[in-house]
Amino acid sequence: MKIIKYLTILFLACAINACTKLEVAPTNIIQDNDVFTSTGGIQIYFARMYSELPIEDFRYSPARGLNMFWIISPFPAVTGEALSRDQRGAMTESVLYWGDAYGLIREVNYFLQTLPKYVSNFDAGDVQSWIGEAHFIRAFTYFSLAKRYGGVPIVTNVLEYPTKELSSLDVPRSSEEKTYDFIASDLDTAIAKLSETNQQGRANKYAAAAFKSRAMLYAGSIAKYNQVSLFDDSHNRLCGIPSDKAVTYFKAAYDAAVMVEGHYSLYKKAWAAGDKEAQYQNYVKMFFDNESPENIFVKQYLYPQSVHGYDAYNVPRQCMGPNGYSSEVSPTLNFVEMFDGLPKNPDGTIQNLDATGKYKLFDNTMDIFSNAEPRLRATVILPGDMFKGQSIEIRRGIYTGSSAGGISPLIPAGATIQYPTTNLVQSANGSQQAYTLPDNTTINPAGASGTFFADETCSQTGFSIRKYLDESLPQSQVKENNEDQTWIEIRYAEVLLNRAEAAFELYTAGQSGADYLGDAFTDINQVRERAGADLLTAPTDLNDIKIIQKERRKELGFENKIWWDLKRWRILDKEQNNALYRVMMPFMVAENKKYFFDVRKDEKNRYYSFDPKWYYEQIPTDEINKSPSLKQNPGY
Amino acid sequence: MRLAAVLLIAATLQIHAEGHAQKISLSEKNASLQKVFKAIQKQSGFHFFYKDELLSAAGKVDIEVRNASIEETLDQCLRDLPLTYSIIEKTIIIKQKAALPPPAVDLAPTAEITGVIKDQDGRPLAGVNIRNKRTGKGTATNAEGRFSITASTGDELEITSVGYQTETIKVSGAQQTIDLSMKVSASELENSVVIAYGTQKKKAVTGAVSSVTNAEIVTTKNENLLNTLTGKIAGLRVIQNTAEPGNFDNTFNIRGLGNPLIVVDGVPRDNIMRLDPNDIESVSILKDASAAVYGVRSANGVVLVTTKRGRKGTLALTYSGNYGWQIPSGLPKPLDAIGYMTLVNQQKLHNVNGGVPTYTQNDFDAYKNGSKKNYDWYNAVIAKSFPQTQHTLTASGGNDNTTYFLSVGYMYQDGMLKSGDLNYKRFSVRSNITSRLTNRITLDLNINGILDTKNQPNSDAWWIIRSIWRQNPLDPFYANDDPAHLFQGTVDGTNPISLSHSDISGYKIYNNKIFQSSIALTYKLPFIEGLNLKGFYSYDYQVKDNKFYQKQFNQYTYDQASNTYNKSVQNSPSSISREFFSIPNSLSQVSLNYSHVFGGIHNLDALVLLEQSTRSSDNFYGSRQLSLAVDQLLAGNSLNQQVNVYPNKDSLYKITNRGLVGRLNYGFKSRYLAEFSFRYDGSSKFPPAHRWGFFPAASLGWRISEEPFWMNSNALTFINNLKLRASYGKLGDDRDANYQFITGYNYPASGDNNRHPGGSVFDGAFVNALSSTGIPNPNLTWYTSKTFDVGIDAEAWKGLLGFTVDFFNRDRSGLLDYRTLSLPGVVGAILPLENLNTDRTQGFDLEVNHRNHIGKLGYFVKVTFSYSRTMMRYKEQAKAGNSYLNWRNNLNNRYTGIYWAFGDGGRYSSFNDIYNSHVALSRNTLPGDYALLDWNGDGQIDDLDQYPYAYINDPAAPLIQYGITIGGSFKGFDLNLLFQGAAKNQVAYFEQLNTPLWGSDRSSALSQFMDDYHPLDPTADPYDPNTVWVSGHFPYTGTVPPTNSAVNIQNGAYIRLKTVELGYTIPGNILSKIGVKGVRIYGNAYNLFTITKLKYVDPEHPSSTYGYLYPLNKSVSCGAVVNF
Repeated sequence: MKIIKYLTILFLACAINACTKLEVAPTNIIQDNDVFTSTGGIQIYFARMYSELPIEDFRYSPARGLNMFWIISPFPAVTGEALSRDQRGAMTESVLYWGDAYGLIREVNYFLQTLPKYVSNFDAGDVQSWIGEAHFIRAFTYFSLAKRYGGVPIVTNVLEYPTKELSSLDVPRSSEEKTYDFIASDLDTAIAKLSETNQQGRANKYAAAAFKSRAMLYAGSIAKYNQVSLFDDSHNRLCGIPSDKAVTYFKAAYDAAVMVEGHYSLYKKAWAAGDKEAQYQNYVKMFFDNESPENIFVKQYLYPQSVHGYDAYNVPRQCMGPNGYSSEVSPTLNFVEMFDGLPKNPDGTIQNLDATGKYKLFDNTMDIFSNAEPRLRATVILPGDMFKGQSIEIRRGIYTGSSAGGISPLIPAGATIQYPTTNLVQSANGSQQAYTLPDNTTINPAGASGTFFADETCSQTGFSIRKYLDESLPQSQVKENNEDQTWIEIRYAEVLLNRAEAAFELYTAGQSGADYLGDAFTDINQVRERAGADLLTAPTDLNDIKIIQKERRKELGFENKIWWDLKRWRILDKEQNNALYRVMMPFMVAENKKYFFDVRKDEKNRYYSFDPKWYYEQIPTDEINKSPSLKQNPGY
Repeated sequence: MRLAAVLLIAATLQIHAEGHAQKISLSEKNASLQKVFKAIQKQSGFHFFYKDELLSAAGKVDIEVRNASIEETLDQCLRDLPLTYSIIEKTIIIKQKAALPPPAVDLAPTAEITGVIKDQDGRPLAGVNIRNKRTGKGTATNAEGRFSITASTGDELEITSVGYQTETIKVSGAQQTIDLSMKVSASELENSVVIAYGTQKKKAVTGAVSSVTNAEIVTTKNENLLNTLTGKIAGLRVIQNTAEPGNFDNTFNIRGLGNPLIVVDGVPRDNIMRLDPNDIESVSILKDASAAVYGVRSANGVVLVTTKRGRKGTLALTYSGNYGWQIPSGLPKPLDAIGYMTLVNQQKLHNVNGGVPTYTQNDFDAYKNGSKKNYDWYNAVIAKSFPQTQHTLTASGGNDNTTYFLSVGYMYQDGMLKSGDLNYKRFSVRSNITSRLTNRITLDLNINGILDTKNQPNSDAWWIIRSIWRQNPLDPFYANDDPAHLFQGTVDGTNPISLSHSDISGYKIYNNKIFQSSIALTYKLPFIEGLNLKGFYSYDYQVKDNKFYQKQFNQYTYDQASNTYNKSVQNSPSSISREFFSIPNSLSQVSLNYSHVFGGIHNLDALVLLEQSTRSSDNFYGSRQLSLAVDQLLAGNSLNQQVNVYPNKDSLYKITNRGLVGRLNYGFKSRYLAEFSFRYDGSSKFPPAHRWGFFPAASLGWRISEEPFWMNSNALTFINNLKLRASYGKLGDDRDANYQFITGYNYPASGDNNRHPGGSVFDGAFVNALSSTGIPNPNLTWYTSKTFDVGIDAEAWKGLLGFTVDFFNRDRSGLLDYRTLSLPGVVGAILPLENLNTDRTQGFDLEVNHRNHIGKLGYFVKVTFSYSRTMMRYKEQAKAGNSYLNWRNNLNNRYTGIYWAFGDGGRYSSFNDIYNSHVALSRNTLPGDYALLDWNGDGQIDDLDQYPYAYINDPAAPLIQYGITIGGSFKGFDLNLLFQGAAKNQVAYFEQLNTPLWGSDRSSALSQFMDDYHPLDPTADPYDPNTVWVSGHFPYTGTVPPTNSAVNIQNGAYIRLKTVELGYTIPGNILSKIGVKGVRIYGNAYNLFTITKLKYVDPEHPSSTYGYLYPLNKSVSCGAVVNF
């Protein structure tokens, strides 16, 4: 029994003595020492900053914000490039980008403050390039703020709290001009320090230069076109830039664009002069070639860790994936009509009627587009065009009336009424009842990709989006959060367009120093040639900024840039002034299986009116509440 | 630390030394008188005077006394010996007894008396103590209620058992057997209650402690122990969120205070839900400062679960098992084809600019005459009823030295899916052994193992329910009705038949393996009676091992025009994911316990305890896409394979705690009671300077009923117990803290394919990012809670009526919150949690008991009721732009859960109503639309018309919860009813529960939406003033109640028959031939009916996850308890 006593005492002694330490390092937290001591650590830090970079890509919409899924109401459905079942009119961003921006800015500032303490671990050249890269990220972020709000508070160091007073954190807005100057200066640092090459997905010297051309062009446009003013108590102009600064910014944009020349070029790997098919294929491939010489700055995705759902949302209805999304973006006829190679009326609208006012009849729906500019086919799926090895069937219905003597328009020109039900067979939705044609073949009333009258999961305009859709993605993989094609944030074509626009603005402002008009002419023609569009014959053809604007809208359409362009040109309120966009509906004639196109205003009566106050967005009210010195933009 | 312990021990010893000459406790067997006298001398200070030969002739003695006076001790010591004693001053003189006259008859023979002790219903009672008052010897009944004891004629046998009235029987001459039915003691005063680190007699308790015992728990048959406690303990709030097998999703708190600390057999453990109710001895809750001894984790109260231990006696085997059937409680069904088309047409016509119905009369006729088929998705997927069963076999027994309790349990619960692929099963074993290793050393060894598995299809239940509700009744189950071609649903491409079958779409398996063990050695210290030294060590280990199989399959659409099936490949590619969590916890304690009664009037109990614990969790997961159609990781390929850990604070952590606990209880004549306790507690979660905290508590009790004036008053004695209690203490909680005092990063950063990704892709490779943990807070510490409680315990007519009421107030300060709202966005950092907010929770809870017998009918009633409400005293927030917003957004000094909403102004019953409305209405307003209240009377309805309308907390937390238990027994029958209810609770539902045809035109709606305002003629233009309307509960399809409005809020108050159980005990004599000692058979029902104003769904079912959570269930079961 004694032994038990001793064992007990031993047990008790152990229980007391096995002292648990309270100094326990957290197992799920790492610290600066772990990060700033290896290039791997630096890469991890950059991975964070780039993941937060406000790139309006596949995962952005003005209704949902950045880095989101379920991208409904996509950007093109706000600009008039397209209609979407989820977008019922004009809008401005409903998710306000502010707090996340300053979160990223803090990370940059922390990086710039902390890296110098650890330089001994690294190659000096790497350190310089990283510093440049951090400046690029900061400039990118400030530009995202400036294009939304005008002048914003500029924070260049890590704001301390709680060691500093709360009141010291109430940073007022800088003027819009100072904000752009700050962006320019950060980008100059980036250009000076960044190395010429970097990993894909990260910026290099020329990305910084290309981005500078974009930012400065924006600043120049504000100086030139903006009418809104907002001053703070110290007479800083928070909204608007003095018009005399326009030339300075255009010049900066021009110079930055020129810097990129020779280092990047337009993608023409599959291009052949005069070969429309090759030009079409070339234009499609450009968006899928990671080695493209045109890609200056990209955002890459990789399944399964970082993915988007672009194809799932946007494939034509008949290519719908297993989860049932499709056709979120239907390009408008207004967009399509901008392109060359279509039969057009004198006013530039598409010619669907013959001289007697009856519908022109076609053997199939692609006939009317037989001469279309290759860039159009690569941007928009036209009814009947091939995609993923199948003809994309877009048909509004079957006309069962007689075609003898021609068919008159189904509804009066400009009408917004619904189609009549007599002489028309239509489908409410995708579960179609087959219709037997006079030749006893059976056919669905509407195309496999629409258009259905009671269901909007289909083409709503007669067109479907093509750009960026991955033709090689199996249908079973067309799923939300399953796509990983690269987003091209800055490509050389934009730099050329920036350069052309800046040059033309400098030319119209009477600036000398270079042959600005000639430069713009060459730039535009480079873009047009690659697109397979009609070339300008001489610099004097370039007699209106609208030519450059239109080129930009065509080349950069559906790349989430156009809304900002329409805003900086301050023309969106004029374009979207109770506007109804136009659509083109293919119908089959039952009698002879021929097709006609009805051109009409949007059936769903989606009126667009852009409120001019949206040129400057609302600063989040709770930020105004927290920072008494923040001044709200006009109209909010 | 160690020094402090030693000092405390020394202090305790000091107390003992002062109380030297008071009472004697002795336990000796077969000891020499010399030895016994020596011990008495040591304890009492009395000296003995005797002749040696006198003692050696007397032989050996047995003695067992506790807190006895010197006379009592000597009486017992010498009772069977020819010796007597006298006391002079401090000296005891031992002398020979005067020779007794010879007995008139032969000395009454010492005979073996045997007997059976039963309860009132004739069931044998085990563990009843029988003591011969004269000899002091005792025994206990075995599982059959049998005993045998030696006694002489005239001896008095005292028969005692906890919960029964004590009986004394005088042994008469010829008596050989005693068969007795014991009467239940109504009084609970002598019952023991488990409290923190010990037990206490109920009469001596000064804190707010409530408890239930096994008998009350097992009347409710449920897979989840928490659900068997609902309504039974005043102040314990249990809300069942779902009955999904294996989910154990409850909202559970004490007095509305937040997640309590759960302590199972002395060890903080959180698996209370999975315990077998048959293993539970009792559940106590510490509602007030009596929890303070749990220090930094005590602020929300403590639930103490105690499992059964063995009882002395021969092996008692008990089998209890039941089998039952469940049905959903409140799961709305979607519309049929006619209903669907009706509502779609309503929605299309609901267009002031002119609408065109989608479906024509031909369509309706086709479904009415059967030429087109309606598809009932609900019945295609949901079973009519689904089984559940539970079986437990326990064994208990032991001898004087060792007792054991062993138990093996099995539980199976089927889910509501027709496929049978959603289910849960659990095995558990338990071994609780107590062994006296030596006279002074006792060993307690508890081992518990639980294995459980939840199987489910690859899709979660809520997603399947969502899909069933949305599925279009015009869509077929199979394309072209060909069972080889599952239909590709037109809503999200889903088909609930595919989703609900594991063999089609794959599965998820959740495995838990839980091992819990503890060993305790208690050493009765030899030199001081009543002083115990105890060492305790516990080691728990939990493994979660989950496997997810996503299986590729095809769905089809049928194209009539070309007579072809179009394939849609789902769930591609097939993949396997595995998750593994390893969660070890250890805890060790050393304690000194001292208990003594001085001079028969001063009760003293003291405890000093050192405790330290380490809790940790580690994990990893991996997934691979499959090359082979084999559901094993080995069949995977290298494409997109992933391995990583979940770095969140609940999955990857190591936390250590150390604490010193002290407690002192003092009672004067059981009349004045006082308790003081403290815990000095340290947690690794905090920076060194803020790591340690001191949590003192004190409580007082006054048993007025023990005062002489009370006891002598005829008018008052019917109240046999009246106690006033008050307690106050400081408690803490460190649950939300996570190393916010360190500057650092979370790595890998949490990311989400739906939102912000966890990294970036560079050169085609994914690089995990880090994310800053934000600004550190070097001053972070736990929040503290100051709890005040005052209560009254009363008992009248010897327990016929019992009553307990408690009022409490809890002030918390230093509640963690982010200063986000006040800090400008330009700072750009995640702020650390800071100890910013304060709140106050107040409330009361009460319990009333009535227990009685009328003839053969025994019955009892127990009512529990609790109310509590929390008010924010200070809530960190930003200043708003104007005074209205400042007032509106203000949370300071306001109750929590206040819901701002538009008031209900009734309905527009006609166009006249609409035309005459004094508020501006949109032109698409229709009869049946909600008239919102123009609260500020400005003629328009806008945000300014919202006012604090309701109390809503999500997850649901009713302000009032109550329970009424009624039980009775008559002859062999017993009946138990538990009504349970909640009040002061509102719910608001969204998505499909508030919007018919939610999401798209193809989505169906729930059938309740047919009860709506609509034109008598469904084709009539609703905007035609001449249209005749039929009124209904819902407005015309297309009008949806505004989210924040009275019309979207329903009263969630309810009362339900939570449990009803009817049992019958088969008389023992019938069964004894087959070796069965007792059988009780019963039928039981759970959630049998509910009275509530809430329509369509179960009132406990939360609105989170849009109300799609697997519903609660109703169940009926039958079962038996068999004693062998």
